[in-house]
Amino acid sequence: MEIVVKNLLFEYDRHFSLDISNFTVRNGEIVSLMGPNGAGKTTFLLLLSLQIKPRAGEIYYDNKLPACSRDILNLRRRISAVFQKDYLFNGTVFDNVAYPLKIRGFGNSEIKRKVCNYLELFGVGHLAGKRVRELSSGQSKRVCLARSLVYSPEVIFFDEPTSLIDFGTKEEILSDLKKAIGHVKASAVFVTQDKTEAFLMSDRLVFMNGGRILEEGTPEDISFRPMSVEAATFFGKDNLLSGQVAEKEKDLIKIRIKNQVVFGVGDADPGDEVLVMLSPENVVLSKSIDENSQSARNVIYCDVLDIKDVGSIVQVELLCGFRLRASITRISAEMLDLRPGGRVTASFKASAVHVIKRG
Amino acid sequence: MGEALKKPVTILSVVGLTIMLLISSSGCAARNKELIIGSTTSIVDSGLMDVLAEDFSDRYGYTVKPISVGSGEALEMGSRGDCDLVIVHSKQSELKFVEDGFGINRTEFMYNQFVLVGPADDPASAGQLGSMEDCFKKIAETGSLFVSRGDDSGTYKKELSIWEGVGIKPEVDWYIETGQGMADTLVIAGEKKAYVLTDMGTYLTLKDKIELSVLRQGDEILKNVYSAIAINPKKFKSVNFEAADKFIKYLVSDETREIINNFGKEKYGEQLFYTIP
Amino acid sequence: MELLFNGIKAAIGLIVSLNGGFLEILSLTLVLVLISTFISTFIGLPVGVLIAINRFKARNFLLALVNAGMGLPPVVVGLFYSILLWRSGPLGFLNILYTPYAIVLGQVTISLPIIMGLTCSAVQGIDPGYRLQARALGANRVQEVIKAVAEARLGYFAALIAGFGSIISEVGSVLMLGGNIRGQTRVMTTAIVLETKKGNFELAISLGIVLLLLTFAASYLGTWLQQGRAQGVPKWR
Repeated sequence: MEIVVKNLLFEYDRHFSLDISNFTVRNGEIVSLMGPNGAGKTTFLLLLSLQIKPRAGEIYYDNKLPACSRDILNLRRRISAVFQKDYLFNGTVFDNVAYPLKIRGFGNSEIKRKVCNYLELFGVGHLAGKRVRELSSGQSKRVCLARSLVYSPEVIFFDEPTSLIDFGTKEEILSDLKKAIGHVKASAVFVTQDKTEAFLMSDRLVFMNGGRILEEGTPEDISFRPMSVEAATFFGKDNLLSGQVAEKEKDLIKIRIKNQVVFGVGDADPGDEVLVMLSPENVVLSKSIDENSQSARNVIYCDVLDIKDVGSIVQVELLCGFRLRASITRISAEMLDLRPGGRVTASFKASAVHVIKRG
Repeated sequence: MGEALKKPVTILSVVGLTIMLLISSSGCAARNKELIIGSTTSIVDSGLMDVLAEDFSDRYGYTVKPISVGSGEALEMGSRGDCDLVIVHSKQSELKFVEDGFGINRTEFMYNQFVLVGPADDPASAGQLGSMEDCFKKIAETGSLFVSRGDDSGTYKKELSIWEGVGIKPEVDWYIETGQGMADTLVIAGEKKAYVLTDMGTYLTLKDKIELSVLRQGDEILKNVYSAIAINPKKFKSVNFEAADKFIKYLVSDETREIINNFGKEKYGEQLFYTIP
Repeated sequence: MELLFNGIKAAIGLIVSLNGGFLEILSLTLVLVLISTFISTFIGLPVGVLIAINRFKARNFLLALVNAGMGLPPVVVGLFYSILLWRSGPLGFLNILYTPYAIVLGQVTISLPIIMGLTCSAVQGIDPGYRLQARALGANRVQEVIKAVAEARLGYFAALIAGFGSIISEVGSVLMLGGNIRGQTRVMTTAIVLETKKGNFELAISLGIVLLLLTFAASYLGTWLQQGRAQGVPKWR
């Protein structure tokens, strides 16, 4: 099913509103909605899945606009939704998965066939007779997914479906889910906070904040090359610096930050005030200029201000005219024998420095 | 919203009406075969009432409903027309009842004995004295513990009449009012080793459990006469006078006299109730 | 203590001997309580659900009434109905005082608010997500409500058990409305009162013990139905 949104408006209260001027889900596409808490993702999902009504605007489902409540009910029968909690009904696994088929009037033998089919698809065929309260969380989720797909919906809406599941099981489930979605040839919209989930599942990623869509693109595009401060912060880009473009040569941009020069890539012209983004993982530290830093465009001497141990990673706060944070492995930190007050060389590629025009 | 409520409300009203119809129809059918008796508690507690009710019911096919409420309340019920017959043992109140026109055909049909029980050693030496009045006087003088029912019962009224007869108002430090039934009152008296006025039947039931003995019995003043009074149909149209009248006649019949006189002999080894010849 | 021990012996004796009078009282007690519980459930369960899921103006007032009704003193209920049902009273023409009908009336009045109130709480406690999920799977309004409401199963049984318990053990109302007439309206509790008044403590205690056993057996049955044939402890999620 194809969904097209035009000028959608929803008001939470006087201060906050959801405003989506343009959004499309193509046939068979899987789109993820990402963003910080309160960005409006869940509200958007509720609007798309016909759970709540907008203040203004239209949502077209296969080019049709639902007019009356009968339309809405019929449309609802062609879609599906999965939430954080499984909401499995009291009873057996089989009863649960059979429910949507029962209310659509399918015959008993057909129900049996479909239910067993979809349970198998998610690897829980052997649990058909079990009562739902005896299931583990992973099994429970799989049953829930089977139930949501058993009637071959044309589009499925997911609201952080695996956020309560442990990592190991999560990937397995997502992999089965993606196959199943392909199997029924449905479109899907995921609301997720989990980058892994977004990466594994989506064809396209949409970043939202403050009730608006800020960016759209492939998962790689948006997480590694965010176009906005908000997206960058969300995807964990530290090291946001302001500067001015001094020169531009082809794709390479020379930026003046304080009294330092930094080379990066992006879309800006000389004289522009820009925002410079550099991921801490891309900053390589060494005692002196050596092989590691030779390929890097940017090589800067820094003072070490602070060292913080964060599990398997060490975060190093540096000063080189401006504040810079580096994220290195513990082994590297040990080998470098870093301590506050010491000196170290920081190097990073120009391609890791992402430049955004300000204003 | 309100729509969802309409359906259950309709069903409820239909069900409710049906129930009421069923109830009133079944009630009506048996109405003239029903005899409601407002009765004093002692005749019910002894078990005699049940025996008489069953026997009468077997003979004449009435559904007898003896309601054990105590003499005072029974007469109250009667004055509202809420029963067909009263059986009480409170002569003065009874006479007033008839005088006020609530009851007719007052018939004294049996009596039982009150007895004075107390601790076996009889600290007030009450047992030996000449009359019940003297006993009570002595108890008051010595300040011996006396337990009373202090309720609306015939027993209490009898006890009061004796106190009044000797012109004594019992004092709180040796006089205990329990406000409860005869059995409970006796148990309390037993615990406190006090004197108490009781009917023979209840005493016999509890004899083994309380350490009190019969100190005085047989006085004329201790005679407790039961009467049956039919409720005046002229005052209350809905009373079943026919049944009440039949019951009164039943009470004084020869077969019934035998039942009454033999009641309790086997269980207690003593006659509890005596018919009035 | 000796009294208690003798009472227990007598209780066993009563049950084993299947004494006629005893059976009469026992069966009457059960029949009346079951009928009353059934009526209260029939009315209370659906109305409780409806109050819980609908919004309407008088809702808070109605809920307050129901909650107050849960603490209604049975003897007050008995007194109130007595005054209405006396021959001299406004509903005297019904002629149901001192009949089992009046007892049922009192018992329903006592247990109905309990069943209604507990059902209402149970439904209000259901995660609203269930309704959402049912809707997302294509249920229409009626279907979605049915599915969501079915989740409070534990609560409904609790309501039923509480309602049952409230009337099998009560004596004030059934005494006043029934009159404690042998063979007609004498139930376990009123029989205990009578035997105590008579001084037959042993018999009273044995009846009391039987009543306790009865209540426990019924509660056990209710609990077993409530918990279902579950193997393993349900996960706390």
